[in-house]
Amino acid sequence: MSSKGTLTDAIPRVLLFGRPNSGKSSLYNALTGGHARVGNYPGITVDILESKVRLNDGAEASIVDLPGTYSLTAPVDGETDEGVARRCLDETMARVGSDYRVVQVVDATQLELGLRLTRELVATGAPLLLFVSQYDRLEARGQTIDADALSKAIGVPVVCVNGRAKSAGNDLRHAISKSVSSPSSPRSSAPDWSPKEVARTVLNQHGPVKANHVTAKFDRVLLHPVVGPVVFFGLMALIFAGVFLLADPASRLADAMREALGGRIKGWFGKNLITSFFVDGLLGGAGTVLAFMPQIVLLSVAMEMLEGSGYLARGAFLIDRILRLMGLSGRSFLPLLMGHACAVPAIGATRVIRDPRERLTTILVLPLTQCSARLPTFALILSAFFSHRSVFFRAGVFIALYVGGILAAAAASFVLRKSSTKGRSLPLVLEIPEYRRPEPSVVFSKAKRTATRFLKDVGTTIVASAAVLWILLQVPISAPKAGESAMDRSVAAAIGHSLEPVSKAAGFDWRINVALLGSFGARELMVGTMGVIVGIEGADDDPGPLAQKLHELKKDDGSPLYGTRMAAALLVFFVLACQCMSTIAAIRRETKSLKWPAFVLAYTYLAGYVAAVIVYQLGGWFGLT
Amino acid sequence: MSLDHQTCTWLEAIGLGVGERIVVLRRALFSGPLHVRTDTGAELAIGHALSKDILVERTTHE
Repeated sequence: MSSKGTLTDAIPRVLLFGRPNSGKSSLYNALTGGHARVGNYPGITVDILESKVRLNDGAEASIVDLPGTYSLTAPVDGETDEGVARRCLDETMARVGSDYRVVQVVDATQLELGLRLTRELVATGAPLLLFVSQYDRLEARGQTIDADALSKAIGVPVVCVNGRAKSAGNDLRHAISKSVSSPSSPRSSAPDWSPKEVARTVLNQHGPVKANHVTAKFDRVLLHPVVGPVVFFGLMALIFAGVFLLADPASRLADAMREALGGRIKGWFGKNLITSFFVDGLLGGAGTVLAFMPQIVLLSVAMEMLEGSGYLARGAFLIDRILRLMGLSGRSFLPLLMGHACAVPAIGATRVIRDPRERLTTILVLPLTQCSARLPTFALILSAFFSHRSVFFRAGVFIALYVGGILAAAAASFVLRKSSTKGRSLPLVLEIPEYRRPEPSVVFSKAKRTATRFLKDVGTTIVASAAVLWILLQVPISAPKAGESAMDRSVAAAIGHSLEPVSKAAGFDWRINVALLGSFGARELMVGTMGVIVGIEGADDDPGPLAQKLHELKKDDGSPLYGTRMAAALLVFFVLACQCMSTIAAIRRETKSLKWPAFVLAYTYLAGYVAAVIVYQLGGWFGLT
Repeated sequence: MSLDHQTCTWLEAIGLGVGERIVVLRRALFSGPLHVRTDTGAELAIGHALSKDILVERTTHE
C-alpha cells in the first residue's frame, strides 16, 4: 500500500533522506514493493511516498521516501522538492512523542558529499542510520569502505549495500528492525569530525583507481560541442518517428480487429438500436481509441530508457543554451521532455527547478508540449487526409507537429520571461551522473503501468463518455427537416451547431465542435467522438477503418465534407489548445491559484483558434480543398 | 567567489565550495554551460553566468 504524504503516528516512521540520485527510491521500492519513480537523474522524486512494511520481528513501520536534499542549511524555496523534504523532516521531529528514525542513503562513490549532509543531520539530534548504497560501483573502482571505522568516526550505525540488488531491501529491513527495537534517543551535539577527513580515512584503495572509462568515452561523443547536439536532436527525432513507424502496423491490426468484431456483432444481432449502441457507441468510441495503445506505450518506454541511462542530464547540459534564449535553463529540460508523455506528472516534476520564476514559466508553457494523448488524433488525421502521401512524409509531419509545439512553448516562454515572470534567475548547477544500463524490470514496469492506466482510462472515462455521446446523438430536440438525418437534430448536434458561427472560420463544423468539446475531459476522446459520429452516420455501410470513413464523408452536393485544409487547421488547433482538464487541475494545484490555470486556458485556446483560422484561410487562398 | 552568501552556501552543499579543486572537462558551444569534475568525484554542469562569478586559480594542466 502506498500513499502520498500520509502521516501515521501509531507506528515508527522511517524517513529515507539523502542527496538527489543517491538511490533512495530504489531502496524504497525494494523494501516496500512499491512503484516510486526511479531514474538516473537528480531530483526524480518530487513527491513524498509513504508505505507500511512489516519488519523482521513482526512489528510494523512506516517508510517514507523523500525527495533528494543537498543540505539542511542552504536556503531553498519551500515549494521545491528540497523544500518539501525538509518540511517533512522538521514536522516529524517537531511532533511531540513522535517515534521516528532517519535513514540517510549515501552514494558510496560520493562519500564525502554524503557525509556533509550526515554532519548536518547529526547536529539536529535525529536518530540516524547511514545506508551506503551503490557499493558495487565503488568496488568496481577498486575501492572499499571500512564500515566499522566509519560508524565509529561519525557515531552512527552504518550498513553498506548495492542499492539495486534485491537483497538491499532485506538488509535495510533488518537494520531498521534493529534500530526500532532499541529506544530512540535523540541527541543534539555539534559533530567534531570533518567529512573530508573521515572519507579519506575510511576509503580503502586496492590497486590503482579504475576510472569509469565507459562514461568518459560516451561523453566524449555525446557531449561533444558539435556532435553532441546533432546526436541529441537526431535521437529525439528518431524516437518520435520510430514511435509512429513502429506502432503504425500494430495500430492497424488493432483497428482491423475492432472492425471484424463490429461486423460480427452486426451479423449476429442485425441492425437495430442496441447493436448501434455497442458497435457505433462503445466499439466506435472506446475501441477506436484502444487501437492507439502501442504508440503510447512505446513512447513511455523510450522515455524511461533515456531517463534510466543518465542521458537526460546530458540533454539538459546540451540544451541549456537554447533554453536560456527562452528565459529558462537546463533545469527545465526534464519537465519539458516529460510533457511529451503527459503534462500532469511533468507539472509536478517542475519542483526540481529551484528558481520560482523559471518554475512558473515552465508550468505555464508545459501544455504546449505534445503529450501522448494527442497521438491518436494526429495519427487519425494523418491517415485520413494524407494517406495519398508516403509513410515517411506522414512521419515527417508527425515530427513537425512536435517541433511546432516546442517552438510555441519557446515563444510563450520568451514572452512570459519578458513580462509576467521577468526577473533575475538563479544560477544553473546540475549533477551529471554516470551512465547506467536501464534496468529491464523498471522499464517493463513502466510499460505495464502505462498500458494499465490507458486501459483503465479507456474502460472508464472513454467508455462512459462514448455512451453518453451516443445517447446525446440519438436524442432529438426537434423533428428532422427534409434531407436531414435524425442525428442532425440531436442534442449533441444542436450544441455543435451553436458554436459554428465562431468555428466556421477555421473550417470546423458541428461534428468537429462536438468532438473538441468531448475531448476536454480526455484528449483521446477526440478520436472516440469522431468514431461514434461517423459510426452512426454510416451505420448502414460496411464497417471500415475510421480514417477511411472520415475521408469519404460527403456534403449534400457530393463534395468531400472535410478536406486537407480543415485537417491542417485541426492539427494546428490540437497542437496549441490546452484540451485537458487534468492539466488545468495540476496547474491549479502547483501554482495554488485560479489565475494561472485560467490564463493557460485563455492563451492556449486563443492561440489555437487564431492559428487554425490562419491555416484554414491561407489554405483556401492557395487552392487547397 | 563573488556570489551572495545564500548562493555560496547552496553551491558548497552541492560540492562546489571555496577551496575545491575542479577540472574543466568541456564547455558547450555559444557560451553554454561548463562540464566540470570536482575533487569529490562529482561531475557538474555549471551555467555560463555562474562560471563567470567563480574565481579559480590555475594549478595544473590535465
